[in-house]
Amino acid sequence: MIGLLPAFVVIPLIAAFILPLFGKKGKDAATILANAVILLLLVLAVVAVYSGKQGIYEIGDWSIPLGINLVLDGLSALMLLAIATVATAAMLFSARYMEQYTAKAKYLSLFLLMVAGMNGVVLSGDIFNLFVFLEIASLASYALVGFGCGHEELEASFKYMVLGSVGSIFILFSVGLVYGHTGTLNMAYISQTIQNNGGLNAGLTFALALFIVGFGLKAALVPFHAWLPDAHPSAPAPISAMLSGILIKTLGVYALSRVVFNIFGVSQATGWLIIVLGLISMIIGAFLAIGQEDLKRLMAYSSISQIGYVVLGIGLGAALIQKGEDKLASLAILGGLFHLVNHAVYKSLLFLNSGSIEMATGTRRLEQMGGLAAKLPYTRATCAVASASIVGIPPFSGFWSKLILIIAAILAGYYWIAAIIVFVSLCTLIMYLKVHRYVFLGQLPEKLQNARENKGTMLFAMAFLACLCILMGLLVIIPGLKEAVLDPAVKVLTGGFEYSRFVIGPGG
Amino acid sequence: MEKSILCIPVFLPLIIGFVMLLLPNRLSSLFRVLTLIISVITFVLGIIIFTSGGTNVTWSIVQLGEIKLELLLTATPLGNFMLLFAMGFGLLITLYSLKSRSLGDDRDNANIYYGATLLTIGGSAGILLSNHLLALLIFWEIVTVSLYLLISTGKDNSNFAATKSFAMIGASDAAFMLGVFLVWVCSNENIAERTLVISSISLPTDSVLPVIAFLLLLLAAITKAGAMPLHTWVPTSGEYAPASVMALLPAAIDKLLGIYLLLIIVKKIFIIETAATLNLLLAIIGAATIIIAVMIAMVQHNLKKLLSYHAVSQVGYMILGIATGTPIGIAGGIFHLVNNAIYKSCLFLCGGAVEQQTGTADLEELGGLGKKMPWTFATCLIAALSISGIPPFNGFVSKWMIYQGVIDMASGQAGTIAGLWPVWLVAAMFGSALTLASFVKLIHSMFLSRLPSGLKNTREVSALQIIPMAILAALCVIFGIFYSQVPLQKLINPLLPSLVGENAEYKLSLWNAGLATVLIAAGIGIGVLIWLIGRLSDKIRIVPTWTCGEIQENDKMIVPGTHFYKTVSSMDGLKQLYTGQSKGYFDIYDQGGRLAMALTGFLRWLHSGMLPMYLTWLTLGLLIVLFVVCGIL
Repeated sequence: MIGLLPAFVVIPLIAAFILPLFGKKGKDAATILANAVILLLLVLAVVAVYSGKQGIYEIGDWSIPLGINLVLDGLSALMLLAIATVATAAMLFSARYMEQYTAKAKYLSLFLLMVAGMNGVVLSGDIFNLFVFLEIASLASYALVGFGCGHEELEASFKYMVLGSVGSIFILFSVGLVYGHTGTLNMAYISQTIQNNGGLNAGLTFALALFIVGFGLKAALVPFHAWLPDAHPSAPAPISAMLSGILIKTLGVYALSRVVFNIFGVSQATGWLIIVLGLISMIIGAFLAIGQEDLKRLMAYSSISQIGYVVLGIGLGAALIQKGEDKLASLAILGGLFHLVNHAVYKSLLFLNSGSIEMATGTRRLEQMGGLAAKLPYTRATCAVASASIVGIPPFSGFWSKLILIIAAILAGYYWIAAIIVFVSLCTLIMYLKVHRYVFLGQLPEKLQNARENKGTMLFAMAFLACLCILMGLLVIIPGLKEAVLDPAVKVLTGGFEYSRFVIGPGG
Repeated sequence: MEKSILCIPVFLPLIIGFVMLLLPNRLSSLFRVLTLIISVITFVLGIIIFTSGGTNVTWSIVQLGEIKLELLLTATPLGNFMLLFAMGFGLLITLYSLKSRSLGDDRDNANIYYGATLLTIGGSAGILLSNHLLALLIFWEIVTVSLYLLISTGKDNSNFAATKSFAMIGASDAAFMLGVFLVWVCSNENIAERTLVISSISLPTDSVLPVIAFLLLLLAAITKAGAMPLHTWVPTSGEYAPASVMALLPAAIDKLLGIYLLLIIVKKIFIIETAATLNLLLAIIGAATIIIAVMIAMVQHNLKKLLSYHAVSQVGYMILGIATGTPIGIAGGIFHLVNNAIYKSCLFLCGGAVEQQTGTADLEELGGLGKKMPWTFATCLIAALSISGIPPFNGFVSKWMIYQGVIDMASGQAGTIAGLWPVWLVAAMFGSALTLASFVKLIHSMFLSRLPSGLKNTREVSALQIIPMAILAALCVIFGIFYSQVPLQKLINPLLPSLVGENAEYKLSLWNAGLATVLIAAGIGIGVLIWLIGRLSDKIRIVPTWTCGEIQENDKMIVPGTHFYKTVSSMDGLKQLYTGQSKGYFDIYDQGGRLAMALTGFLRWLHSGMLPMYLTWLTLGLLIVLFVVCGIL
C-alpha cells in the first residue's frame, strides 16, 4: 500500500494532462477515462482505509529531511476516502450534466487537477509541498468556478481568486517564517525542533497566526468567508459539490488541524480561538442561509454554518487536550471529523440535487419553483435524505455527529456550546424546510409543466450518496467500524507530537 | 437484543414504513393492504401488552463518553394504557383512509401517506415503551417528521402548514434534547452514576439547573400537545392538512404523546410538589389555553380551523387536571385525554367527510346537510355534545372530574395555586359553556340551516368511512354512561398508583340527582320565560319578505351560523385582540420569523458584494487572530 502512495497524486495528474488532447470529438472517451481514474482512486482509498496500513513514502528514495515524503496515517486515509467518494459522485454526475457546457474535456482535466491537488495536500509530509498542492487545487478551482464564462461566474471567480490569493500569500509567508526559524520544511522535523526548543518563539507564533488565517480563509470561516457565497453557487453543480463538499475541508480544516495539532502543538488560546471561529461561522452562516432566495446560495451559506460544526469539534478537542481531558478531547474530535465526513457526503448530494433541479427548471430562484415533487420524484427523495441528514434527524448520519458534538460539549461542562449547537441545528432545519417548501411542495407554476427529471448517471450519483447518508450512522453504531475508520484519524490529532515520532522513527 | 413482544409494535411499522417511503407510488394498493395489516397487528399487540405486559428489552446501541444510548423497552402501566389507545387510533384512521384516499386525486402521495402513518404508529409505540430518555427523544423526532410528511400530502397551502408545524415542533424538540442532557447532568453528583433511564431518575426542583431542564421538557410536551402559547401550528395545519391526518395526529396521537411526556416529567422525572411556582405555571397554561383558544374558535369560519382551536382548548383541561396534583384531577386529566382523542378524532373525520362530499370546509357555504348525510350528522352531533360536556356523554364525566380535582385541591393544599381555585374552576366551566356555544354554531351551519342549491346532490360517505366515525361515537356514549365500570375501573384507576403513589383512592361524587334535576328544570324554565317575555312584549312582527313582486330564489336568505357570535367579535377591546390574532401578532412562529428576517436582512446588507469590504473584514480578522494567538489579549 505504502508503495502506491504517489499514485494518489500521479494518476490524476497524468490523466489531467492527457485529457485536453481528446478535444471535442473524443468527449465520451474523455468522460470514461476521467470516471475510470476517479473510480480507481476510490478503490485505492478504500484499500488504504481497510488495510489500516500507515507509513511514509520517500520520493526518489531521498531520505528525509533531505527529500520529500508522503505520509499516510489515519487522518490522511480518512480524508483520501472522503475526497474519492465525493469525487466519484461528482464525476459521475458531470458525465451528463456537463453536456450543457462546451469544452468538457478541459473541465474534466481541471477536475482531475483539483483532485490531484487535494490528494497531495492530505498526503504531503512537507509543508512547502503542502502549499504547492494547495495552490494546484485552488487554481483549478478558480478556473472551475468561472467555467460558465458568464458575467456572474467571472465576477465570482475573480473575487474568489483575489481573496484566495491573499490566503495563499499568508500561508506562503508563514512557510517562509517557519523555515527561517527551524531550518527545515519537513513537517515532522519542524515539530521536533519546536519540541526541542520547548515551545514557540515570537516568530513561530506569528507564523501560527498566519496559518490560522490562511487556512481559515480556505475553510471559509467567518469572517474570512466572503468569497464562498459567490463562488460556490456560480460553479457548475458538480463543482459546487466538490468545493463545498470536500475542498474547503481539505485545504482548510485538514491543513489547519494538521498544523495546529501535529506541528505547532495545541494551546488554550488557539483552542478557544478555533472554537469561537467555529461558533461564529455556525451562527452567522445559518442566519444568512435562512434569508436566501437562491437555492445554491442558501446551500453555500449552510456550508459555512456546517464547517463551523467541524471546526468547533476540533477546537474543543484542542482546548480539552490542553486541560488534560484526553478522553473528552477524542470524543470532541471524533464528532468534528465524523461531521466533516458526513457533511462531505450530504452537502455534495445537496449540490448535485440543486444541479438536477436547475437542469430541469432552468432557474435557481426559489420563488419561481414549486410542486416539483411530482416531476422530480427521485431528486426529491434524495434531497429529503440529504436534508434529513444535515438537519440531524435520527437515524440519518448528521444526527450522530451532532449528537457526539453535543455530548462532548455537555461532558466538558460547556452547556452553552451545546445550546448553540442545538439552536443552529434548528436554524438548519428551518432553512431546509424552506427549500422543500418552495421547491418540491406547493403549486407547480405554469412554466414548469414540462420539467423533466434527468435519469441515468446523474440519478445514480445522487442515489449513491443518499445510500451513504442513510448508512453512515452505522459508523458509530457498529462497534468494529468506528475503530477501523474514525478512531485512527482521531488518534492522529489527539496524539499531537506523536506525529513527528511516527514519521522520523524512534531513533530520530 | 432479547426477543420480546415489545419490539414488534415499535420496529415492524418503523421498518416497513421507512421502506414504503422509498418505494414508488404505483404500488398504492399494496401500501393500503400492508398498512391495514400492520395496524391490525399493532392494535392486537397493544391489547396483549396492556393485559399481560411483556419482557423488558435492553439493547445498548452506543456509548459516547459517559453517556449511553440504550434501547430500553419496558411496559409501564401508563405507557401500556396510552399504547392501547394510540394503536387503536392508528387502526381506525387507517380504516378511514382506505376509502377516502382512493376517492381523491392524491394518489401521488400514497407512499408518503401510508409510510408516514406507519412511522407514526411505530414511533409512538417507541415513545410509550421507551424507558431511556435519549431513545425516547429519537422516537419523538420520528413522530415529528412523520407529522410533517403527513401534512405535506394535503393540497394547496399544505406546504406552508407542514413547514410551520415542523419548525415549531422542531424547535421544541431542540429544547427537549437540551433538557434531556441537563437531566442527565443533574441526575447524580457522581459522573459515573448519572443516568438517562427514566425509572431511576427523580430530581428535586430546588436549584436552577433542574428547573431549566424541567422548563425545556415542559416546552416540548406542551408544543406537541398544542397548548398555548405554542399551539399555533395546530390551527394552521388544521386548515390545510387532510382531515384524516388531523384526526390521527394533532387530535389524537400528538395529544397522547404530549400529555404522556407531561405526566412523565411532572410525576416521574421531577418532584414538583415542592415547587409551587412550577405547579402554578402549569395551571396558568391550562386555564389560559382553555379560555383563549375557545374564544378564538367561536369566531372561526373554517370548519377544520374551528375544530383545531378546540383541539387546543381541550388540552387546557388535561394540563389543568394534572396541575391540581390530586388523584381525581389527574385521573380526570387522563380520562379527558382519552375522551378528547375519541370525540375530536370523530369530529375531524366528520368534518373530513363533509369536506370530501361537498368540496368545501367553509361554514358559510355549507348547510342543511342533516338530511343528506344522516350518519355523519348523528355521529357529529354525539361528538359535539361530548366535547361540550353535556351529560350523559363522556366529555361531561371527565370535565366533572377535573372540576372536582380543582375543588379537592382547594381543600387539601395550601399556597397560591390552591388559593386561586375559583379562577381555575371558572375558567374550566366558562370554557365548557363557550365550547357548547361554538358547537351550536358548527352544527347549525353544517347540518341544519338551509341547503345551498349547489349541494343538492351531496351524498353520504361510504360505509368504510362511517364505521370509524360510528365506533368513535359509540365510544363517546359508552364511556359516558358506563364511565365507572369501563374506563375508570378497568383502564385508568390501575395506573394511578404509579403516578400519585399509594393513596390513589378518590371518591367520585358525580351528582346529586335531586338537586341537579331541580337546577336543570329551573334553567329550562327561565329560558322559556325569556322566550315568552320576548314573544309577549309584542315588538316582533312577522311578515313575509317584501320582494317588490319579483320571485326570488336567494340562497343567501338563511340564518347563517357564521354570524352567531359577531357581537362578540366586534365588541370593543375583543375586536382589536381578534384582529391582532388573525394577523399573527400573537404567533411565536410569525414573530420569530420577522425577527430572523430583520437579522438576516442586516447580515445581507453587510454582504454587499464589494471586494474592498471583504478585504477589510479579512484584515480585521487577521488582527484579532494575531492578538489572540500572540497572547497580547
